[in-house]
Amino acid sequence: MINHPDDQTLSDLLDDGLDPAERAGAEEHLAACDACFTRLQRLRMLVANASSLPRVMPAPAGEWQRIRARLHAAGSPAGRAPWWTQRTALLAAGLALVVASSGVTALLVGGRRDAAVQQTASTPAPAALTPRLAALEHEYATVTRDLERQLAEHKHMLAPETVAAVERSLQTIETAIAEAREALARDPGSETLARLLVAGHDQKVELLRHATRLVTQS
Amino acid sequence: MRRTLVLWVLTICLTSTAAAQSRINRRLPLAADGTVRITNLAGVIRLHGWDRDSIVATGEVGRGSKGFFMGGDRTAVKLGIDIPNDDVTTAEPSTLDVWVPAGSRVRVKSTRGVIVVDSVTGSLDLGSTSGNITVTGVPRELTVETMDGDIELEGAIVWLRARSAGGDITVRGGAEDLVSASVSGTVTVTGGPVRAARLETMTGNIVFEASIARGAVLDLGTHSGAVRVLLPKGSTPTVEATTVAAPIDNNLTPQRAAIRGEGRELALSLGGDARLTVRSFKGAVTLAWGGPPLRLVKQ
Repeated sequence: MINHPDDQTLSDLLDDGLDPAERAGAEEHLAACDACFTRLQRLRMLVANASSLPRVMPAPAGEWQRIRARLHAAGSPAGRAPWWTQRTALLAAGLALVVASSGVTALLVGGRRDAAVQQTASTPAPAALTPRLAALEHEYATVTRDLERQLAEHKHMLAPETVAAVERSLQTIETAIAEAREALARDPGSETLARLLVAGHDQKVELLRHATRLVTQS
Repeated sequence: MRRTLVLWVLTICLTSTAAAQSRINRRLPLAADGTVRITNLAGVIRLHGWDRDSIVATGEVGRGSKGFFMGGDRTAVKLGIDIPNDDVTTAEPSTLDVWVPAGSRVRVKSTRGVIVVDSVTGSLDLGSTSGNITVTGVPRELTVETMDGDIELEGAIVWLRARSAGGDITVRGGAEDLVSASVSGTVTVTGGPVRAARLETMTGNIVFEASIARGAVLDLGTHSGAVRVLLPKGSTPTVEATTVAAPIDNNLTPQRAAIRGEGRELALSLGGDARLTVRSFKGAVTLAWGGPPLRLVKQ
């Protein structure tokens, strides 16, 4: 029976919280298991997305006054529990979560067998990539698109030399990614190329996350 | 009349200089494992760990800055230089010398500032957009991030994450768990011992000349940078090196790398339980003996 690493282990791996032996074991498993590798990348995307969110999201001006006024107008009985804490609502929410996550899992795990991985129009066409890599590229494309959008919105807050440094590095990474993809088209089974491609995407996400953090947390 | 005019101009100059470059000298009590946040967007931040339960800040506020701020309680202190609209082009560099309890958790943020740290044993989170960062000592946890600055780390670091887009990263000394990545800068690790390391670049070179711990896991990857690994004599790792379109020069054993398309593949087992993996797209890989003598670390 194969022991797949649980979510906590994957999370620790991502946070570099595993000791060398555990890490080696997990990485060995990930090298062979498409499903767990995809789970890890999914988790990585989530962390990258979350880290780029602003620390504080102020409510619109006067929002609390409006909410208070609406509560008074509705005659909300004091002490009554909010709807989202009620048992039926919790059950419904839990069911929705299970359905949603099962769908995602089915998509990810099934991607190993199903070559027809859904691609958006903006995702680069991974003609010769394995389904696993194609799915990963799709995820990376989604994350980088979000980060690029955030960066574009706040670009004016960065010093010109910082913008130039980011653009220079992005260009370097994109060239490397393009070369790795081209080589993978000729040699789809190469584990080295697959890992180099993923490393390129990781560097791109990290660079964008860093640049975005410079403006969103200033 | 002329003498009066000169004296008058001199007085104005001295007064404005004194006003613009105000001196800093503040002290607050702080717990041995307190949290500290430091901001100095332009200039120099020198952070020192010491064995007292207080934090002291000295230095000079540069012309054009709003001033120095510092506040907090025994568990957390926040301090720094306030620049209007965080626009570093409007303010002259400020200098900050900060002494913190050695075990503190410190976060330093800068844009063009140089960050220099010594003797902190707690955790450090250091970030500068274009300034260089230098750390000496034995911090428990160290996170360093720059866009274009160079990073230099020296000491025995338990947990280290260093990342730069265009700068070089140099680690001299040991690390239990090391991840170091640069897009176009050179990543260098010397000294050791290193137990777990992941070194990555896109076009930057990778130089690994450190001793390795028993059971170490080392992972080196680059797109087009040259990779040079100098293993200490007596090291016994299992080595796997692969390139897509570049040579592998193996001087560890007589074995030659096998040809695979335009690239090369090499697998060596030198008998021990440490593992070294090198992946390169088109950067040449050199493996040789050298470096410091092997120092084994008990697991």
